[in-house]
Amino acid sequence: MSSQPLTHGTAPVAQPMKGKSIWSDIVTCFRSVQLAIVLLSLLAIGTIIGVVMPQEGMVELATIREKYGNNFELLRDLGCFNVYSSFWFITLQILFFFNLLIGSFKWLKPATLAAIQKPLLTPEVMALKPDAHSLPVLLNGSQDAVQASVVNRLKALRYGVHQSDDGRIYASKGNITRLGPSIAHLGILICLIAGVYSSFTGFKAVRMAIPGETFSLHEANTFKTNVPQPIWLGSVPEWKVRVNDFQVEFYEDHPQTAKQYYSKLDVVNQKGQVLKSETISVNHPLVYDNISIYQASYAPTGRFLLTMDGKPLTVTVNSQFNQRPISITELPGGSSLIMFPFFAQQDPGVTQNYAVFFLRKPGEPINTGVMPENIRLTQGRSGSLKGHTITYLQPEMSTGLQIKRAPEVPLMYASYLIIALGAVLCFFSQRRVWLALKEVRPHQWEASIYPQTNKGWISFRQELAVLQATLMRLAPPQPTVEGPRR
Amino acid sequence: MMDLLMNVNESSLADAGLLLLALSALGYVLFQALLPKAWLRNTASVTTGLSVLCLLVSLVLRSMTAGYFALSNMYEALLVMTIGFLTAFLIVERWFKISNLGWAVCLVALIVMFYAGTTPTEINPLQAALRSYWRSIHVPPLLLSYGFFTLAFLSSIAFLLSDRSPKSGGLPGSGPTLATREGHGILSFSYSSMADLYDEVTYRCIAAGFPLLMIGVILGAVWANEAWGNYWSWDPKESMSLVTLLGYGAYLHLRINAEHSRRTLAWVSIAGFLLMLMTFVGVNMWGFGSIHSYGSVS
Repeated sequence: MSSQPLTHGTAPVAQPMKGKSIWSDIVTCFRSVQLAIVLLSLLAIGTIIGVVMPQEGMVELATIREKYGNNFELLRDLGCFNVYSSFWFITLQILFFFNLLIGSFKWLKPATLAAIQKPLLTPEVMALKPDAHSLPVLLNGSQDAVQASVVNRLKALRYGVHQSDDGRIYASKGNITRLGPSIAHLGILICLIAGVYSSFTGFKAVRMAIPGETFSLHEANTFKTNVPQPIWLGSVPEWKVRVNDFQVEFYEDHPQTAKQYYSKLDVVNQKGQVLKSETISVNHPLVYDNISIYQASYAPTGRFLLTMDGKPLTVTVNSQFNQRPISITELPGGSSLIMFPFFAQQDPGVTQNYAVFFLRKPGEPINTGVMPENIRLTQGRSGSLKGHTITYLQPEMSTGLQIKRAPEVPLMYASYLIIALGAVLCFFSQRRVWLALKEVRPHQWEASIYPQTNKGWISFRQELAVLQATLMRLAPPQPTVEGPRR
Repeated sequence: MMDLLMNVNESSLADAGLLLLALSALGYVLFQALLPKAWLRNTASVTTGLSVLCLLVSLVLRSMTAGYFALSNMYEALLVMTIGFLTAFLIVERWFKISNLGWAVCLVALIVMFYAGTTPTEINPLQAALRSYWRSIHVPPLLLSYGFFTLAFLSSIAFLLSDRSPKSGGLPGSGPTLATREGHGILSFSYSSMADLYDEVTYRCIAAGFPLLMIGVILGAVWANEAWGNYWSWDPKESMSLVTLLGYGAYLHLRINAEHSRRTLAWVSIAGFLLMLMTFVGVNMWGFGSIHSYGSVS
């Protein structure tokens, strides 16, 4: 008995078109899977170029120029140093969008029909199917009994069963999975649309702020919209952000590693009234008026908070000694306080921030051969130097705040959910079984079967074997063997 | 003392896992080459399962010692990936009866774990950015998908080695054929060769890995947006994960098209695996300046 290949069966077949226009040619081209594969490959290649080549914004342009020498201008014109914003990469994305859009429509109808239709086939029609086989069994009993037995077995295998009185059965399961690719494509389309929506209405800003500072979003260090301002449709609110405090928490046993950093923020209106207060930290932003303020980074400002004889004193890095930044501060009375700061996260071998202080009295000679009297204070500690008590409180830090207006977030997250759902559905298969009973002798029925699945043949085969066993039990002891109908 | 005890147990359990893995490899080799007995195959499977258990408990103990879900450096990522890979194999072995791949799977897992041993294994405190529940849900799907893709890679190699047809084609759905066995009256889907089985295994592994990779990438984007206000920053690691997605996406789309031969698909699967390797290890190894530097191999 010959074996026949199974095919998808429901894949749309290209039909010859009469009087094709250019438009229909374009549509045909854009809905092809081949174009999708080509675009996926080109996008992958483009992205790899972006990974391998240094990108502007991540690497200094001068460094790139130095590395590529004479080829720099050509490569730059080709967008190799700004791949993801280059004309060709954006063009690929646009083509991909239309391929998805048109391709999804192409598949949507047959997939939906395959999911919702419950066609019943006669043995004669099934005989025309390339994969249909007559079962090598003749089933004993009345039609109702045989049909009920088959249906019960299919239901036990969790098939949804649709049947007619004349012995035709259609059983299917996993119907919704046929829509998996379309659902995933829909999600990607929504994601791309959300991205475009974000470009025209959202903004990003970064502000390095020190505690006590109040700033409006217009005053951010960088303010960026994804499209040029003239065609940008968004708006920037008038309220301001006040930074009340900023703290960095380090691990006790790993003082060079920041455990968390916190900014205590107020959102205030033009009159200074507090609209919202919150302490933000990494992974925990403040959200107000559809604008999120993220704790993004921190950096030393170059100033240090001290007390001297109980009085607060702020000193600033303003000089260098052996290429090391130092602070020289003139004190009332003509003395100078010299501070050499050392940082756990910058200086090798330093596990805790500390500073070495020198105090030079007016007219005191500088003896280069002898180390002057000094004091080494770790952060938070006090000590005495030439009769003065100095406390090294902390280096002043500025908090790095990222501010973002992202009106597309609900749409974007919805698209993510849809993509994930579609991708998961794609794993599962739709299984369909057509059965038809035909009375060949009185009270003896021949079963024709036409199984179909789009994937997962092995477990489908196991199920069919179970179904086969059920039918065998209904068959007389010596069944007649018949070959596949062709 | 408790910490010390936990560390000892963690490393000794990992060592025990590797030993069991080596025994499994031996068992599968004997099964394949000398003694094709069911008991030997079953023993190798059970030993592989015990190996997974040891590695899993080792990870749990490591997490208890660290005070967080230990998935923050390359060693831990490779450990989790190996657990995922072996678990995926055990599932697929049970489902598809592909014990023939067992020795190769164990060998690859051993290589991965020995490589993991060359990366820094000490437990370090988490950076502020990683102190989030998102880390625990973003990374595991990715590593599990890598496990499935590695299995698909091995299956593709096996397909290419076992495919004897002059021009294999006729996709999709032509692997299994519907046949009635003459004289027995039994309807069966029979695979015409092991190549058909390997082709199906490759496809199913990629079909399983693809949504996992997709979900992992999506969760990463959501985390990045929640933490920094950026879904996507074209970081090399992110970009390469997109490339891997696109590569396997191309495979799945190629699969729809019946004109492409299964050999072509096998090669695409192998290319996808290379992209995955580039994403997982290459980006960190070759220093593309990724913000995912906590996965550094040095």
